[in-house]
Amino acid sequence: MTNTWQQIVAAALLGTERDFVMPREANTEVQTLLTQSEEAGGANALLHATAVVPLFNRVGQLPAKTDATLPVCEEETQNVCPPQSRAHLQTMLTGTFAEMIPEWLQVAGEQKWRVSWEMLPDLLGWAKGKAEVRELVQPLLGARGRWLA
Amino acid sequence: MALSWTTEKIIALSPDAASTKAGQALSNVRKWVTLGHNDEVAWGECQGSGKNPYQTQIDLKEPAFKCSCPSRKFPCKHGLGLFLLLASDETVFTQNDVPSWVAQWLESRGERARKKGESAPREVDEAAQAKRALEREKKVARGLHDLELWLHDLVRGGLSGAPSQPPTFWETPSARLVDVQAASAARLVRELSSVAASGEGWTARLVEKLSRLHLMIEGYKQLETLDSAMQTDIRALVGWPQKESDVLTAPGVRDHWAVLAQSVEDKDRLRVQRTWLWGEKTNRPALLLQFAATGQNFDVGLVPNTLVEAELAFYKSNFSLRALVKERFSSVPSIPNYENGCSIAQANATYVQALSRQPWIERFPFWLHAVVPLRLNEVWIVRDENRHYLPLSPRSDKGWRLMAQSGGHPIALFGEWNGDYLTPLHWWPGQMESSTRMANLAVAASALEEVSA
Repeated sequence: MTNTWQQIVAAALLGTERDFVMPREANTEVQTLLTQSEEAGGANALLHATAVVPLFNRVGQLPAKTDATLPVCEEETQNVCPPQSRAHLQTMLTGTFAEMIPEWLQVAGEQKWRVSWEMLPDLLGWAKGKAEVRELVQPLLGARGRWLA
Repeated sequence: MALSWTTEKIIALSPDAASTKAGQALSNVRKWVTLGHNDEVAWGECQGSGKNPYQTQIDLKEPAFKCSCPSRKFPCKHGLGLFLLLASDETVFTQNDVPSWVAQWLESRGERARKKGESAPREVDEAAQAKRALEREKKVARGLHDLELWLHDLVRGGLSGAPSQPPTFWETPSARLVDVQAASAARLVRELSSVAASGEGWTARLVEKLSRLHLMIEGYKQLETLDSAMQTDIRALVGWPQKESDVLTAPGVRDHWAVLAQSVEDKDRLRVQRTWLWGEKTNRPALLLQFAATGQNFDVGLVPNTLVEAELAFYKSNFSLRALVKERFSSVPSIPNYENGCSIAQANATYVQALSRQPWIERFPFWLHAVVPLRLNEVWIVRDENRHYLPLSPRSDKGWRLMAQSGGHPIALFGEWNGDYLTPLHWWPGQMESSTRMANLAVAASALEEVSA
C-alpha cells in the first residue's frame, strides 16, 4: 500500500499534465476505487486517489514499534526542597534576580536538599557552560538529576 | 446610557457597606461566565459556588435590577458588581444577542428588547432573510468553484514548486474565500503554506491536506446526497458553523469530566482557549472552545486537575468532539483517573475510525495511560508497554521535562495527534512526587475558589 501512495505522491509532485498513470493496487477494494477515480480523468483522477489511499494506509497500519529502552532511574535518597524555595528558584530561572541563583544553590546544598524533578531541565539548562557552578549544582541533582544529565 | 453612571453614583445605590464591598469584588470580568449589553439593558451570568450561575440583569433606563440569587438585598451584590463593571469597561460585555431570560423580563416590564443583527426572529422579514441566505449560498458555491479551479491547476502543474512559492500564492485563494465568508475553508488554504515549508516529508503531507480540500469541495457539490451529520461537518468547514443556541438544544451528556488540559492560542487577532475534558463514565473526550479579542481575558470557568460534574451538549458531527457546557453542577480538585487512558494501538485505532467518518479532523485527543518518553535517533518519542511508539512534534520543547518527570518510569500523557506527530499537553507521572501532587491539587483548589463568587 505504501508503494501505491509513493507513486501517487510522486505523480502529484510532477503534475498530471505529464502523463499520469494510476498505480495498480493489490487490495481489490482500493483498486475498485482507484479505477473509478481514473474514470474522472485529469486532475480529478489524482485527487480522488489522494482522498482514498492515505486513509486505507492509516486503517491498515499499526504504529511503528521499537525495542529502544531507557534504564529506570533509581529511588531518591535526598529530601526535595520545600515548595517556597522551589518557587524562588523557579522565578530566578526565568531571569528575575538570576544572579542570586548561586546563593540559592549554596543554601540548598547546606540543607542537603535536592531539586524537584520538573525543575531539573531548567536548572541543568542554566548550568550548561558555567563550569564555575558545577560544584554547587552537583549535590542538588539527586538520583533523577544525575540520571538525566 | 450606563456611561453617565459613575462608580460613586452606583455605589450610592448600595443598601449597605457589606453589599458595596461584595459588589466591588464582583466587578471583575473573571467572575462572569457571560456578559452582554445593548442600549437598554445589561446582563451577565455569575458563577456561584453551586450549580447554575446566577442570572443578573439591569434595565439601564431606570436603573432597575433583577437577579436570580437568593439575596433579599436590593440591589444585590451581583447587580452592583455588574453595573460597576459596565461603568468601568463595557468592552468586556461581548454578547449582543439578548438571551431569552433577559427578553422575558423586559417584556414583562412592558418593553420590547431591541436586538442587534439578523438574529431577531420575529421582527425580520422572512422573505428578505431567505433571499440573503440564497445569495450567500450562491457566492459560496462560486468561491468553491474558483478554489476547485485553483486546486486543479496546482495538481496539473505539479507540486514541486510549492515550497518556493511566495506567501501570496496561498493567501490569494484564501482571501477569495474570506470574501465569500467561507472562513474555515480560507483557513485550510492558508495553512497549506506552512505545510509546503515543513521540510522533510512535506510532499506527502501536502498531498494529504490537498485531498481534504478536494473532499470538501466534492462533498459540498453533492451535499444533499450526504447524511445530515456529514452535511453539518461540510457546512461548518465551508463557513456555516453551528449556532451555539442550536447546539444547546441537543440532548445533554452528563458525567464527571476530568479537565485534562487547557491552552490559549492567538490566531488572526482572536484568542482561542481550548479546554479538553474526558468523561469518567462515558470515557469520551470533549473540546470546549472559547473566543476572546486580543488582550481580553477568559473567564476562569474550568481548571485543569479538577473533576467537573456537568452536562455537555456536543456539536453535531459525524464524529463529535466539540461541545458546550449546558449545566455545571460541581467541581473538585482531582488528579485524573489514569485507567481511562489507553495504549498507543488503541488510541490509533480510535483515531483512524474517527478519520474515516470525519476526514477533516486535525487535532485528535490521545489519552495514553502508560508511556515512557525517550530519544530515538535524535527524535523525541513516547513508547508504551507493547513497544509501539509515537513521535513528538518536532516543534515541541517538552521532551526533557517529560523525561525528567518520568525517570524511565511510565507516565500518563494527554496530547493532540495530527496523524504524524503528538503534541504533549499535560502529563502525570505514575509515581508523582507527593509534593508535586499536593501542589497541583492546591493550585486547582485555589483556582476553583476564585471562580466561586
